[in-house]
Amino acid sequence: MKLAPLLALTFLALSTSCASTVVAVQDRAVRDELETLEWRPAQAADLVGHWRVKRIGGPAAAVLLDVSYWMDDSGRFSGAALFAGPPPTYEVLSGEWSLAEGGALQLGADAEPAVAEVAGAYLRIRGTEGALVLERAVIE
Amino acid sequence: MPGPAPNTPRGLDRALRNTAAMKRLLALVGAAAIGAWTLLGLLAWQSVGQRVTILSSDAPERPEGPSEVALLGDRVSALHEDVRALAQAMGAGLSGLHEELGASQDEHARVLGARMDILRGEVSSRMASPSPDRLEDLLREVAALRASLAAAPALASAVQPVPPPSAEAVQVAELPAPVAEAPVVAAEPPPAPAAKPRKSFLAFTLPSDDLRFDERRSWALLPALSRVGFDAKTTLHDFTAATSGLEGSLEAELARPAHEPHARIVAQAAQLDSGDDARDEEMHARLAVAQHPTLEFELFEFVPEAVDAAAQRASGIARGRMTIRGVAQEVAMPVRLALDEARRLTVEGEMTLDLERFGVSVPNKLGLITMQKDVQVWISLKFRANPRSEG
Repeated sequence: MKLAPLLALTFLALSTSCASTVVAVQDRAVRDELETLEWRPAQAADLVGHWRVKRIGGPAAAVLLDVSYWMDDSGRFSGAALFAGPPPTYEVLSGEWSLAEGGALQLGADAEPAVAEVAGAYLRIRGTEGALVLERAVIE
Repeated sequence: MPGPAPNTPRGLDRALRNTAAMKRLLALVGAAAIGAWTLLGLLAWQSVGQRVTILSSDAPERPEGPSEVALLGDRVSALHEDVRALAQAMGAGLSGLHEELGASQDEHARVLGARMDILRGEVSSRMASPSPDRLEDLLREVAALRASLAAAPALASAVQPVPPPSAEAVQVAELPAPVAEAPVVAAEPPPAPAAKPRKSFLAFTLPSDDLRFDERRSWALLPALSRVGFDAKTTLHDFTAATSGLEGSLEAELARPAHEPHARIVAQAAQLDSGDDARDEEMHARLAVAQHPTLEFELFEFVPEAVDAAAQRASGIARGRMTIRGVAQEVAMPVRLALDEARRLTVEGEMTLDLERFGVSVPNKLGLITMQKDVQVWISLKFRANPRSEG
């Protein structure tokens, strides 16, 4: 009668220590942390600073290799974009930015409005030609 | 009595008188000579004037040859031949143009006739219980076709007479009154005024370019978004070991993946992680990572099974050389390729691999805990396209 509990405990211990740790097929790909972020509409104070692109999506990804922005609290901004070329070439521009209610970002007077959202140290800008995820640049 | 000496005043007087006479004589002779010379000059002038004719002309001298009339005749003949040849060439060209335009118009009429057949069938099938909306749509379509028909001959009439429309076209054109009186809908809307180009949401003007599946490109592996690993089965429990310690590249025309693809993937063997330190230590020892720090795969052939260039997807068998623990063996892995929304190339695949082919012994603990020598190797890779090279 005392053997049964012992066997049960042994089975329980083996079953926990011998559980399979095989990764499921759908989990083999690297989990993209940027896709797990919870984004909220940006406020003007969120945008001030130096931003460097982390990810480019949509049609813009085919023509851009790098994007950086400097945005100050007086409403001025300066940007640099590396176009794929060939040859790859940087273009720079400056202007004034504004942010409307709901996170509608206007970078310059004649640009298409963008949707600006933030999550932690990341800023996401979305438009009809793609989406950019930028992170706060820290120069060490 | 002797005569006076010359040196006497009387002789001197006579000599002087002789000298004066001589002077007069010489003057007369000189005057006569001048007169005679002048007379001779006048006579000579008159004689030359009668015998010599002076012609003055600006025309250059020409060599002796055929007469100008003959030359002009030759030129006119040559020009005539040229005009005739030109007329023949133009005639042939215009004839070809005429035939092409005729064929084009016939084709256009055939297409319109077919469309009208379909339309007439629809009209006749719905005449019994016509829906007002549908009928109105049909009327608009008929009007558009009529406008299109009217416009088509106008294009060709500049070159040739318009042939009569086909019987079917006439039949459809002569539809009942409501159809004939339907408002004409323009076949093509007027072009919108050109809008001022607007910059993208990034403030930069983005060129209109995109990744094409039918373009040979080189791609760089993104290690942070890539992973390779294997699933192993043991008598105790199954596990997965994987790593993102990768580097690699790929070059191919994805629409024609069999056309000289190149790829090389290198994994750091010491970074294979199964989530169990003791197991990892033994795994690294069996893989001899100190002596053979990398696991490598080099593609040398791709056998496509399905290529969908429109959907930007492909699948097939990747054949290449796998090197594990310094031992190289040929392997074949079914893989799938696709472009994601961020214009990255995703490559996924898996295959069964016999570790003992590569000289890797599998663990066997007293015969109680054993691991199968066949493992399931898998890859989940992402690549970013490299910028195009100039030229």
